[in-house]
Amino acid sequence: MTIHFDRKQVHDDLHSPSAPAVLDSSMRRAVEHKHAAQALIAWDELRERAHEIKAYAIEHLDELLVRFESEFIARGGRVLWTQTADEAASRFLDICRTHGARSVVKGKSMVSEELELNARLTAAGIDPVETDLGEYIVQLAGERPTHIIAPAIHMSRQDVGSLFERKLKVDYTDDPEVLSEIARVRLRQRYLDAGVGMTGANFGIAETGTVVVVENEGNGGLSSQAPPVQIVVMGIEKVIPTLDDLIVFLQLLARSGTGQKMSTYVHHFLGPVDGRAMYCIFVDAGRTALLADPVARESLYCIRCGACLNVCPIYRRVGGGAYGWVYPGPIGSVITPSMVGVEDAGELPFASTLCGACAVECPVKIDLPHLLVHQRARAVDEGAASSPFENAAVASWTRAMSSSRGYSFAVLAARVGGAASSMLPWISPAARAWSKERSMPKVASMTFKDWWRER
Amino acid sequence: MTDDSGRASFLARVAAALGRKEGEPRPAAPIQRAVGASTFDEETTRDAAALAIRFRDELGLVSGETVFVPDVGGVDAEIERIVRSRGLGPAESDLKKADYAVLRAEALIADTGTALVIERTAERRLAPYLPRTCIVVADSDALFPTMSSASLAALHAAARRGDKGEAVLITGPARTADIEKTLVLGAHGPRHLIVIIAGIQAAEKDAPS
Amino acid sequence: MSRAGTASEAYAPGDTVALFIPCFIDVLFPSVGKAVVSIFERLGVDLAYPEDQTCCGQPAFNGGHRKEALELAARFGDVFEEYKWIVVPSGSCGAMAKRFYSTLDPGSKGATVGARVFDLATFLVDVLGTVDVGARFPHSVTMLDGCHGRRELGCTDAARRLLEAVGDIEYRELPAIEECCGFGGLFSVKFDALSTSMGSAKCANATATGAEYLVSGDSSCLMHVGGMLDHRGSNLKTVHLAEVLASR
Repeated sequence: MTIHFDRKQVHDDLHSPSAPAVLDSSMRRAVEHKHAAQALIAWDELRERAHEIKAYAIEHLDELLVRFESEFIARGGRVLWTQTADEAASRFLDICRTHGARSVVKGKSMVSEELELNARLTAAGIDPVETDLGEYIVQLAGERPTHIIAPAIHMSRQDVGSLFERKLKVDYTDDPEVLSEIARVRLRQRYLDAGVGMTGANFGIAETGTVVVVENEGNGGLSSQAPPVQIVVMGIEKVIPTLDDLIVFLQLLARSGTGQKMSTYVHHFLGPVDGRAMYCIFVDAGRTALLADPVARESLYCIRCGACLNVCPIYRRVGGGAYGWVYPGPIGSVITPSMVGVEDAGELPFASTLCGACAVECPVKIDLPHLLVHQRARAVDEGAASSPFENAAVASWTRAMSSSRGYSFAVLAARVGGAASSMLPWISPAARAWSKERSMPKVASMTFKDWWRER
Repeated sequence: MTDDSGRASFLARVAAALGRKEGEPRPAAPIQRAVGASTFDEETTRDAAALAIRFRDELGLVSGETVFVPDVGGVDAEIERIVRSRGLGPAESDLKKADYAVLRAEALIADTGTALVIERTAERRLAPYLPRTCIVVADSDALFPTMSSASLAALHAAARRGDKGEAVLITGPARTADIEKTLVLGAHGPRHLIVIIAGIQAAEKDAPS
Repeated sequence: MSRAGTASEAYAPGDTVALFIPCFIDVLFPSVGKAVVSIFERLGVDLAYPEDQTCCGQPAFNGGHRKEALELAARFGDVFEEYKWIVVPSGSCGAMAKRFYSTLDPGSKGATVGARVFDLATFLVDVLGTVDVGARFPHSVTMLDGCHGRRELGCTDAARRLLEAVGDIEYRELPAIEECCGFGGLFSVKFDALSTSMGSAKCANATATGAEYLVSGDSSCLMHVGGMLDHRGSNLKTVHLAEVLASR
C-alpha cells in the first residue's frame, strides 16, 4: 500500500465548479464558529492544561491501560488487546459470530476506518450500518469519509439529494432537514434489529473504566444502547487518568470541532445492564510506532476535533480524498507515515507550506509544522521521499553554501546562466513548474555583497 | 475474558516504546489526576434562582426550553400541561411508540445548559433517545454553575458504586450539521428538549441574574 | 556565557548590529539589503556585514535534509558568533535561525547564535523602540504577511505599526491576511497547482484592496505572489517593507 498525496485529485478538484467552493465555505464557517466559541473562556490556559494531561497520559500509557482494563472488567465488560488493524477486525468478527449478530449499527468512528470494518463485516455476511448522518451518506455513496468529524463535507446538498433519490428511491430534495428526516426514519428499525452496536471512544477514563463518546445526533446513544451487545473500538491513546481531566477536554473538543460550547451528548458507558454484553477492543495498529518516536509521540495527544483540517489551506482546496488514507489534513500527514510506514506514506508531509495555521488552532497544542518537518526528515533519511537526484542536488548545493568561494561560484553561475533557477535550490529542478503561472525573478547586476564591499 | 499472550506482548511493546527497560515494573501509584486544580472548579455561588436563569438562557441558545415550577408537587401538572398543549400522545411504556419520555436529571450545569441523566435499567436505556420529545425533570438543588468535580459528583458516585447502564450529559435536543454544515435539529434523537426545574418561584424567574 | 539578545534586553547605543542578508536577497533583491542599510544609517546604528555568510539552510531543513541543514546551521553559528544583535529582512529566514536551529540541535552554537536573530520590524519596534523611522511613501499599500514571521516570530503587529507611521502612506488591511500565500519553498514547485491556487486567492485579495503596492517583510512570499501578479499583467506592484521604510 503506497500512499501518495493525490496530485490528480488536486487538479480535478481545483477545476471542478462546486466541490471546493462548498468545502471552502463550510470550513470557513467552522473556523468562525470555533473562534466565537473560544473567545469567552481562558482558551490558552485550557490548551496548556490539555497538553499537560495528554503528555502525562501518554508517558504513563501502559499503567493507564492496565488500570482501565481492570475497572472495565469490574464493570462487567471484556477487554481485547489487538496489535494490528487486521487482528482488531478479526476479533470484532469473532464477537459478532459468538453472539450470532447479523447486522451491526455503528456510531461514528475513525478507528473503524483503519480496520476497514465495513468491508470485513460485509465479507463475513454481516450487515454494517453507519448511523451518523455523514457516515450514512458516505456509506450509501460507496465512499470514505473525507473529514474527521464531518464525513460527507465534500458533498453539496444537491449531491446528497441525488444520492438519496438514486439509492433510497425517494423524491429528490436538497433540503438538509428533509434529508436528515429520511435518514432518521430509515435507521430507526436498524438500531432495534441489530445484534451488535459499535462505537469508537473519544476518551477512556482509567480511574473509572468508563468509555466516553461525544456526539450530537443521538445515534451514538442508540447505537451503543439499543443492541444486546456493545463493542467499543478504542485506539490506545484515548485513555486519560481521571474524570476531572475529562472536564478540560470537554471544554475544548466541542468548541474546536463544531463551535459548540458543549456537544449535545456526552455518553459514559457504566456497564452492561441485564442480559447485555459490553466489550472494549484496544487497538494499537501503528500507535506504538508513534509512541516510540520521541518527537512524533506528541501527535498521540490528538483528540480528533478536526480543527487543523478546517483551517488548512491545502485541505480546504483538495478535501480529505487526496490524502489517500484514513486521516487527512495536517494531523493525517503527521501520523500516517508512522502508522502505515514511512516507506509507504513518506510523501504526505511534503504536501504543506508549513504555514502553521493548524498549530494555532490545535486545542491540545500539537506543534504540527514541526512534526511535519520531522516526518519529512524521516522520509528523506529512509530514502522514501526524495529522489537520488534531489539528494545529490541538495548535497552539492550545501557544499557550495559551506564556503564563501562556493557561494561566489554559485552566484557567478546564476549570473552567467541569467536565471535565478541555478541559485535557488527549490526552483532549479522544476523551473518550468515555477514559470507556468509566475514570472521568474531576475538576477541582479550587482549583489548586495559586492555593493557592500564597494561602498 | 482477556487474551493473556496478546496482552503481555502488547504491554511489552508499549513499555518498550516508552523506553522502559525490560523487567522494569510499571509505576503502580494510584491514578492521579494529571494536573493540578481544574480551571472549572466550582464557583462559589449556589444561588438557585440565578443559576436557574443562567441555565435557561444557555439551554435556550441551543434550542432547548426550560420551565420553572415552585415545588416538586407542581411537576406532574406541568408535564400534563406540556403534553396537552403540544398534542403529545399518552405516555407509553413502549418507548418505540411514545411521543415523549420523562427523564430525571441528577445534576444541571448552568454554564452550558447541560443535564446529567443516568439510566440504570434495560427498560429505560433508550428513553433519552427514542421519543421526539424529551422532558427532563430536576430539583433546583441539582443546579451547579459549571462542569466540575462537584457537578459531576453523581456521575463519579455511580461509577464508583459500580452502577450499570449509561450516564449521559445532555445539552439541548439532538442535532446534525453533516450536510454543508447546516444545522438541523432532531437528527436521530429528540427534536424537543424541555427541562422542568422544581423549586424556583415563578416570580423569581425573570429576576436579573 | 549566553549573549542571546531578547526583546526585553536593552539595546545600548553603539552596539553593533550584524546584517543577515539571505542568499536570495543578496542575488535577486539586493535593493532590499541596501534599504536596510539606509534605514539603520538614518537611525545612527552601527552596522556590520559578515561577508562569509551564505544560506541559512532553510531549503534543506524544510525538504527534510537534516544533515545538510545542520551543516549550514553550524556555519551560521561560526559566521555570526561575535555579534550580539543580528537583524534579517525576512521573517522566514529569521524563523529558521531563531526557532528551527534549536529543534535541529538544541544547545548547539547555531541554536545559541540563531536565538539572537531579529526580523527587521521586531528589531525596530521592540528593541529600538522606534515606530516612526522618518520615511515618506505617498502611496496606498496593503500587506502580505509571511506565515513564519507571523506565527513563529510574531512580527505582524510591528510591521503594521511601522507602515502606519510612514508619512503620507495609506495603509489598507488585506482581507484574510492570515492565510498563507502558497509559496512554501519547494512546495511551490512540487505542488505547483496548489501553490498557484493559494497564490491566486492572495492576488485577488490584494487586488481587491485597490492599493498601489503590496508590501511584505518576506521577499520569498513576494517573489511568488509578485511573480504571479506580473505574469498576469497586474498593476499592483510589490515592494519589501525595508524599501518602504527607506523611502523619503
